[in-house]
Amino acid sequence: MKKVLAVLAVFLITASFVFAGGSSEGSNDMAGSVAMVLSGLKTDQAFNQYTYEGMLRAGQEKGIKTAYMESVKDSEQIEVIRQFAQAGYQTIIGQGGQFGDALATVATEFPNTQFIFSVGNDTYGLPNMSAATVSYKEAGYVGGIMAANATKNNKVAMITGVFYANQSQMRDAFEKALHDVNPDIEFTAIETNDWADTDTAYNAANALIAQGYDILFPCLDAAGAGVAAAADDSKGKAMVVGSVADYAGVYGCKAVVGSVDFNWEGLGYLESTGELCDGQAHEVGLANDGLNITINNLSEEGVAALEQAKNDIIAGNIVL
Amino acid sequence: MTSVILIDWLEAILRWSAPLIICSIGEVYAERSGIINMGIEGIMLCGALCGVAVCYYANSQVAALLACLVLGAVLGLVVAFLTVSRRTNQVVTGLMVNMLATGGTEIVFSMMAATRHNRATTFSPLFPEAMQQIPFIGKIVFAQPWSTWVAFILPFIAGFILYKTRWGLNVRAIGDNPQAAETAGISVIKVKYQTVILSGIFACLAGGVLTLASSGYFAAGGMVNGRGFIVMAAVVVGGWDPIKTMLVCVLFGAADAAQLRLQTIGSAIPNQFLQMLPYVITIIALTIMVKRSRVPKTWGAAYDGRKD
Repeated sequence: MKKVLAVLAVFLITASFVFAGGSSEGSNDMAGSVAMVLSGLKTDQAFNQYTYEGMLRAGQEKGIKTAYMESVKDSEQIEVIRQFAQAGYQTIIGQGGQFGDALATVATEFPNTQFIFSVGNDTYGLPNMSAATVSYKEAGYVGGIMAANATKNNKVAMITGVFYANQSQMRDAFEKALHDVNPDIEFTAIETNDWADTDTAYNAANALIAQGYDILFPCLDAAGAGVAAAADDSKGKAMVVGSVADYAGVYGCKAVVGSVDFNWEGLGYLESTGELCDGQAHEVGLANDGLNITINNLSEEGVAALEQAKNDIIAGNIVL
Repeated sequence: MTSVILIDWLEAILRWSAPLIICSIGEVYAERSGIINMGIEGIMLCGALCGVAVCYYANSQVAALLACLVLGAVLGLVVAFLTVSRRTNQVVTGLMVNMLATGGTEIVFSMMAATRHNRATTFSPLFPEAMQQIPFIGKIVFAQPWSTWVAFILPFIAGFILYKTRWGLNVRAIGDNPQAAETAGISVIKVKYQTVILSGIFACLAGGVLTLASSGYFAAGGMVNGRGFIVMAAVVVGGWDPIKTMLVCVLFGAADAAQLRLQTIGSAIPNQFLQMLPYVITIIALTIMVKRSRVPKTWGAAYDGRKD
């Protein structure tokens, strides 16, 4: 009996690793084939799932072979990417800001394979490596316009996991928009140091609300739920201007001014079609369907200002 | 404004510390009996998901806590079987439980789309809302969910059981000299099983409190964010005493709550350093206190009843 239990325990532990797997779909022809490496699960109903679905759509529409590997840890990145390159996939996408160095390492070993650093801006100077991201700057600016038109206390705060390059650009554009509308708005930004810790995000939001910040602008992954919950619990003291996801739709948050939703599916599709494989860095923004704006509780003046800002960005009248 | 920040900080300290204190109760018992349950980080994660999922689907907080209790007992039993009966390395076992929990919760959570979009009902304050209007202490004390009150009472009960009951004496005796305890007629294996199962139960309940006393949402991956490991450090710094460990948990909660607030008031200290604050304090406390602590003599050692 003890041996059976021991074997069962070993099986359970082994199974936890096996589940973090991947597979390939589509034809056996490697022309245009694409492989995507994900840091999380392809069923996470967030960034990983939507970019993966974009790749699947490209595969179905263009008839190309696709493959993926999910829940890839930092220590596994190079090996997984190299295996896809050795298997003959023509385009390999590292889905997330943490894949840059690993992609660049393997890209130097396989000069005839195309690599895409997704949610990144750096091509590492390699001709076979491209970068693509949604425009955090544009998202920050339109978010700032919504926030500036919704704040009553003139106190607005941004909450993020870590200020990487994209989040820093977003913060600067957000602050610029606030002060373009009203230079007197007080702005602060806070890091929770984790993208999935909803409890810390909830507490960070409460700390800001206690200090009178009445508009919160979260740029978080799953932890954004904590900010949504804090705004709902604040009994009207604070509202959210969402980014990355539609906070009213995804979290059922009622205290939402509006959201700048990232079109991850569209980004995954574009990356998989091979259109971005030119050794350049690309930003997908308002002009090319990279961002969706949802308005929930914004004044008419606010809506008009938002529309104006959106048009100005597309026309190039606002430089970020 | 300073008083507003101070009140908010003090209120946050109590709320943040509560899950750590609950988790520490079981770990104190387990380590006092000689077993280090390093899997509490993963078990907390399981409890966080279990609490949200059961509370949402069954629409009952009681059911959620009962489910956490049962799940914690099962996970504790697995750890006890491996570390006590099979005498596996306690560090390796704990790490495997944590990895299993991370992968397992990701898979289970991916099948529960509704809990991602809908909030579970969170714990309500124990006292009427009007009491929160009492100057200064009103918000600090009376805005707390009932779980915070329970968390701060539990260490005193745990201390009483550990020092004033026969079972508590057995736990301490087994941690210090299991062979002598066995000779005295105490079932060492049975008591070790009991303490490790208790550590699983309290860790799982702490995970449930982590989600249900705050946001009411679960997030796969980093939800527990090292709290289990902090509890393990707190138990050592607290000298394997429930009440002293509670104070260390409060110290960590204070540091963590402070670093967020210091970011908002434009502190000249870089954010990265502020975020290190709770961990720096933990390391300093460990360095100072460890020499003064009385370590259970068979702490982390496998017990082989066949030896003399």
